[in-house]
Amino acid sequence: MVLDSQLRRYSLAAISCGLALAVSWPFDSFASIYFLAVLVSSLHGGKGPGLLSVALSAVAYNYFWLPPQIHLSERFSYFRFAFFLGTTLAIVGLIEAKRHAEEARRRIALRVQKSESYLSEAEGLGHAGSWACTPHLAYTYFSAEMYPILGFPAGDAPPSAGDIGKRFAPEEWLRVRETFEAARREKIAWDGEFAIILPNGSGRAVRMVGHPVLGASGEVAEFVGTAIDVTEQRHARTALQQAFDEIKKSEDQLRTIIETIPGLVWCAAPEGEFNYLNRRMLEYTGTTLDVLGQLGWINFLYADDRAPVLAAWSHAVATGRTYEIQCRLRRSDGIYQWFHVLGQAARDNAGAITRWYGLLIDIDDRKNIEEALYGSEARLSRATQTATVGEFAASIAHEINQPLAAVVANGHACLRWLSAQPPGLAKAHEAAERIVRDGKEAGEVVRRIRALFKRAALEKIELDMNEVIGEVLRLLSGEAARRHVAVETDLAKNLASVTGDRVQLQQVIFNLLLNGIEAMDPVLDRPRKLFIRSNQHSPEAVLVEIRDCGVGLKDPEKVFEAFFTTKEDGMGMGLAICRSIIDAHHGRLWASPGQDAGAIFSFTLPAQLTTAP
Amino acid sequence: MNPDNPIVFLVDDDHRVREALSSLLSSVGLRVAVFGSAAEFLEYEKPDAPACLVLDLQLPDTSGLELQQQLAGLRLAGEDAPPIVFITGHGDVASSVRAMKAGAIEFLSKPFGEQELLQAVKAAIALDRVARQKRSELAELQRHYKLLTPREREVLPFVVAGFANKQTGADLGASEITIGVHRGQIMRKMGAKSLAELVRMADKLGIATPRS
Repeated sequence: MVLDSQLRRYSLAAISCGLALAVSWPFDSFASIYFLAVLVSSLHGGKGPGLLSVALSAVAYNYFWLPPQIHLSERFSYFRFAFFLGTTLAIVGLIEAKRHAEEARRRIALRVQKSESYLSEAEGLGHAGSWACTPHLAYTYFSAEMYPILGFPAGDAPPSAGDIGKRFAPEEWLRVRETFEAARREKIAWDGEFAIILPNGSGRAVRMVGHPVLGASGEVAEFVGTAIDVTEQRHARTALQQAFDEIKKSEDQLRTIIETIPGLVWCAAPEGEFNYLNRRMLEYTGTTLDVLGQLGWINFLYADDRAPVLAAWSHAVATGRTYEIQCRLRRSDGIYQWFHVLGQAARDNAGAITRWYGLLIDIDDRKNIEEALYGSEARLSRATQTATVGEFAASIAHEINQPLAAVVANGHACLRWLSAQPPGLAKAHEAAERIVRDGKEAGEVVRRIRALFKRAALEKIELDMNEVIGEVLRLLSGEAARRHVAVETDLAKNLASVTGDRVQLQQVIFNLLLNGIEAMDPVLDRPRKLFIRSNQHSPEAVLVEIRDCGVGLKDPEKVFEAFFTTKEDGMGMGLAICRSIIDAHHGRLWASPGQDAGAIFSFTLPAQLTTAP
Repeated sequence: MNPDNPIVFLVDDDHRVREALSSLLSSVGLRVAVFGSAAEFLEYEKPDAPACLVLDLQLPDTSGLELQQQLAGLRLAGEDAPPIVFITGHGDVASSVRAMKAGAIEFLSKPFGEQELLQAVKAAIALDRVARQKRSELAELQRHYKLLTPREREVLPFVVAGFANKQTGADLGASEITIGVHRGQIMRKMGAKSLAELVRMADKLGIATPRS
């Protein structure tokens, strides 16, 4: 027992020395009693009290006993005193050394005990136990956790190999033994997972890891290792694997869908760089993602489409808006086909774009049909032109017959003036001049009609819309008069010229005017007036407006649909064709209701910006 | 060339046609008055001469057929209305049938020969001359008829029907002598030289004979 308090330890030294003095005084005693005091002080008090007791003993030794028996004045006495001092110091030193050694051992033992308890705790938590066994499967050490893992009562000596073997199915036990055997032969570590069956019938999975400890002879002396119950991990792993399989399956399905849908699919990084193309897209283009990246995807587009596509894509990437455009993409055999391209940004919760997903839909057939339709529409347009010719043959005949009648009558008059007595030469001359004039006019009418129905290819030239309007008005003036329609014009001066096909634009105006005239057929209670107006709508556009005061429109958009008609004998193609013509001229044609009655048909055409001086 | 100096009215909205036809008609010595529309024509103070109207079927304001109807109305009212020769740039059957039924002289499609036109115009003028003659005779008779007293107008139908004065007197409640006096007055006022002439006059005036 070591006294804790410093004071107590030193007091002990003083008391033991005092007792030694008290005992040695009456008995004129010997020095050995002081040895005992030093021994006690040193043993129980430590080094300090030991040295104190040495000092006290030395004093007591000198003053209380030496005179008359031994004192320092004698030579011999010095020797004895030195011997005494040396011996007591040696005692203190020895005891101190022993105490140190004991202290160290105690601390180590404490640490070992602590770490053993930690280990045990850790083993318990991790369902892991440690073991040692001979090369012949005789277990020499089982940690506490080993027992519950293998289903043995705690605290017993390690079970025999036979008992342990009962925990395994026979073939599994064979596998354990083979593993051991192989490790022993090869002197290698091993690591295996084995299935065991506990006495209560439940199956567990145990992972056993072992490594050989070689003896002096170089043979395996023993194996040490661990056993871990991995049943939970295995369950978790199985569940994880199942979940993983499920994900993989649905991912495979998704991939199959993506790979097989009749579209070309792509993904791109938020900055617009492509990072995935589906198989169809790769097959179509006959390339790989890497090659596409190296060559630049834009070079796979039809040359004319590159600039608009690049602009649209850059805009989409910059703004995050949906990307949509039609363009021609080169197939592996070099043929370009039309595609409708769609791109949509995927965003994270914060709204930042994480990826672009895109789809290319093959619209080549549709485009081809559209073009074929456009062709048939052009033919249809000619057909309706012909129908219009039929409808208004009479009107046109009137236009020609009028000057012709004048020519004939003038001819007769001329002859009569010449044959009169005396001849009316001046009158004959006038009549002859009128013949020339009216003959030319008849020729002009014929020329205009031929121009109107000429089956010429589109010929875009610079045109003055006022001139075009004037030509059509001349053709229609008879018709307007016949139907009692007064035509009023308001044509802007200095109108910018437009680029277009004269015949087609004449046809549009002809149709619109004729529609206006016909729309006023039922009108009896007010003057039938038709206004045609041209003006500079904006610096970029010329506007032509045709306003009637007829029956008006129920649905201003529907009239432009093909085969929509309010006329008994109409084909319903006129306005549809007008619109297609204006569209082809990059203009716009629309209808709106008139202020009081009737309808207004208006169209704009792009103006020639560089007007002639 | 014609003593009564006939006139041709020409209504056509096309100045070229007006000029040519005007020249042609003048060359055969006819007076010509030209108009661009029906309204101009109607406003025109017409000379008292046999006339003909050369009318375009398609006119900007009132159509040719409408003008024809208006003129027919005037004629019924006893006014002068010249016969019509229609000309047209594109004649359709329906319009021509309507025009002819309504009494048009001719329906010519442009361009037409001078003979067709001149013959039609001459025929129309001749017709108008006769019509004018008849109209002026009738007007003369009516002027005479207006001179008769109411009692004389009562007696006239009996005279022209050939009743004896005695019988007429019995029917009208007057003496035979009184009826004889009326009869003399009627003959004098109407300017009839014989009973037969008076009968023709009464026929023209459309006076119905009384039933016995």
